[in-house]
Amino acid sequence: MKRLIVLVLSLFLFAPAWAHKPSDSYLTLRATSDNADVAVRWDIALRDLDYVLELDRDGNGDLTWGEVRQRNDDIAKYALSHLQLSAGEKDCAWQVAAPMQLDKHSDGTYAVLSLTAKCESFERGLKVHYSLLFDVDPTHRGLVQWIAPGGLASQPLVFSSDSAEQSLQLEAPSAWKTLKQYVTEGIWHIWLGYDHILFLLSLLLPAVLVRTRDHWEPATSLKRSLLEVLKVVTAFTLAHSITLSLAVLGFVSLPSRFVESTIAASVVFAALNNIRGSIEKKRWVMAFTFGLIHGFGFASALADLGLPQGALALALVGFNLGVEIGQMVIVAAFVPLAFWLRGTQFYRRWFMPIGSILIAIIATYWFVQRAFDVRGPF
Amino acid sequence: MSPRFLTALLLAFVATAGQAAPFTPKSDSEVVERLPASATDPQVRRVDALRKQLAARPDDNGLRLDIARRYFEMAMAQGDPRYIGYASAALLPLEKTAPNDASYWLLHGLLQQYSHDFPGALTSLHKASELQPQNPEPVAWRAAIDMVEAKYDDALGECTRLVTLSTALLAQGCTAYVQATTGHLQEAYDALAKEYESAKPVVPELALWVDTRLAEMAIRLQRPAVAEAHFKDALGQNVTDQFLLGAYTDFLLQQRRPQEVMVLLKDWERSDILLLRLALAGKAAGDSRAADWASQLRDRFVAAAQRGDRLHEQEAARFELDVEGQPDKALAYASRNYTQQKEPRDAEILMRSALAANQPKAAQPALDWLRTSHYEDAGMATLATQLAAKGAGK
Repeated sequence: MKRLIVLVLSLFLFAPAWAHKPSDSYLTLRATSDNADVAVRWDIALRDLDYVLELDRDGNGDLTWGEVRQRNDDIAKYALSHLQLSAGEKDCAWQVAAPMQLDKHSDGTYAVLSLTAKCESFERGLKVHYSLLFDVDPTHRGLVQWIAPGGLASQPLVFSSDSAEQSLQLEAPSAWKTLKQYVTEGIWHIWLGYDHILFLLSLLLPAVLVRTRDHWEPATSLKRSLLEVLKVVTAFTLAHSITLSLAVLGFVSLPSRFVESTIAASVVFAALNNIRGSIEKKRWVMAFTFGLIHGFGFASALADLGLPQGALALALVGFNLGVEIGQMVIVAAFVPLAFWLRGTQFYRRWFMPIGSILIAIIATYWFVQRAFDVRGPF
Repeated sequence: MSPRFLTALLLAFVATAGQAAPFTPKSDSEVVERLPASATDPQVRRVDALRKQLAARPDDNGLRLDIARRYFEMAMAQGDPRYIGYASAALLPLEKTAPNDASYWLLHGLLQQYSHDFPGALTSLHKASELQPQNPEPVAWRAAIDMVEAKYDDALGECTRLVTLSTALLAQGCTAYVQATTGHLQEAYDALAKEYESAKPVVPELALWVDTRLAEMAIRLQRPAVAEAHFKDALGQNVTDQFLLGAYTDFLLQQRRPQEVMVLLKDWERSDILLLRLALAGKAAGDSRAADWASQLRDRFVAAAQRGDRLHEQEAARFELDVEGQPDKALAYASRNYTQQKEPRDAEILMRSALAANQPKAAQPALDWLRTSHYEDAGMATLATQLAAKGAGK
């Protein structure tokens, strides 16, 4: 009978992996730079500890804090006999840094061990040997976040029964290097993301002009034009910085299709406004409103680059800074030229209206592509 | 207030709010974890007792195989990958000696297929058959692996072998599954339905399986009422089965009946495949719990990616496409998944993602499969036409 049941199951061949999360433990190893210590936070699933140490003494399936706490020493002993840090050829000595606590993960409660590894020196390298649970469950993994001395960002390492021993990189990617990397990415993103440039240009085209009744006149003072540019750029920057931060930090999220098509629509709107001129005085309001949506676009670009654990702030600030720099370069190149040309027929009769129409056409195409060319069944 | 300052302020807020915070429970009597298999379960007690015996007699290979087998069956029944790990651990010492024992090769093959090592699994399962030609199990598993790899002639060969080794209904089910995938949907349905009628009464597990397969075929034959009746019969067997629940709730979603999905799966958040259906239903119905389901699922995919797990790619693609609205990410998952798994639903998600991401050429492997297999499915045919209109080779 049993045979038949398994036989039937075999014909489904569905991976039972779906039902639960496999066994993982989570470690954060943080090296201190002044002495050769490594601070360790180690989260191990209570369920795994129960399997090897039989914590559930009364066998009723409910694990109480008392049952866990009473086995504190056994848990520490078991854990520490399956994790070795060695500097050069010498093992680092373990110290318990704080009493055991608990923490909830997505798949249950974990014991949290706070430990310190006292090493002699980091000069001859640092190695980790991890062997927790491998003897009873070879699919177990140790997921390590390693923070090198003086480092901000952590590097992820995965320990499995095939890779139980690994060396730790002692050279931390410096904060400066991380920041620089994201600044560069931010600059490139605004330069290569034509939709942001065109939106900005659409708002800047009329900044050197003044609308009187139904036609455009050249602005009389540079000061006035610069003030207009400043208002627009600041509003745009402020708005997209807010939503970029909110999205990257996970407070808000919008479907990318909606974001991308609204960005395209914002370009159309801004460009057409230059022809119809319905919003003249409060262009900065438009810059702010649509800037909020552009921020979501920046956020998904940043997410695609990968966010370093532990240096999220650095990546976010760097990327935003890069976007700002890229934007300033465009403004600095465009505004003097536009101001110089503002009095010409060419600028008012041709460059601005036809440029705006071209921008609107391109952006309409993007909008149609992004909003309708996609299909989802739900 | 400058944007820089605002950002700094925000970051400062998040730095304090986002920290994971360990805690110390207030009293010893506080229940901190419910273990999934309590020691009162006779199955668990039996295997615990066997483990203790093994500790005393580590060289007892028969005992080792018995433990591994029991853990594997628990994994199948409860869908818990830890039991797969325990089964592997029990089997591991035997790997060096690789005994001439059919049960060893069968179990070894099953564990290999679990981690998607299909060629290795087929070799092991062939070895099991050589050592024990009368056992239908390795044959049935090989048929299933051949289906995942879209090797239909091989699968049909294994189904034919099952005729003499197992019950007629099981062999017919195997054959019908291959035929339904290779352009003989109506015949496959008729033959299996007829065999099912004549074989009754059938043990609940087998009945559930046959009814699920018939329901899936009826959906593709565009007879939703018939499909519904088969699903109801399958559910009426009172056997808990995630595959059935997944297939039925997919059908309900297709029929735009998300409310029923949420009722049916209310206690199933633990299961990743069923949580995905909950998230889809919640989204379709505009339910207030939808965001929470989506965020739970997101956490699980992040965790799987962290450990380098590639077992979840088909569902990850569906999640990115239908819940998150990220077709590019969905396509990346679906393409990678299709290099290993080539069942119809793997092809379908690849086509849907490629279309949504506007990269029709990425769906080419699935389109080629659809053409050469002659798989009948109106939805997929429409997808293929749409992809072809965008420049994919049909």
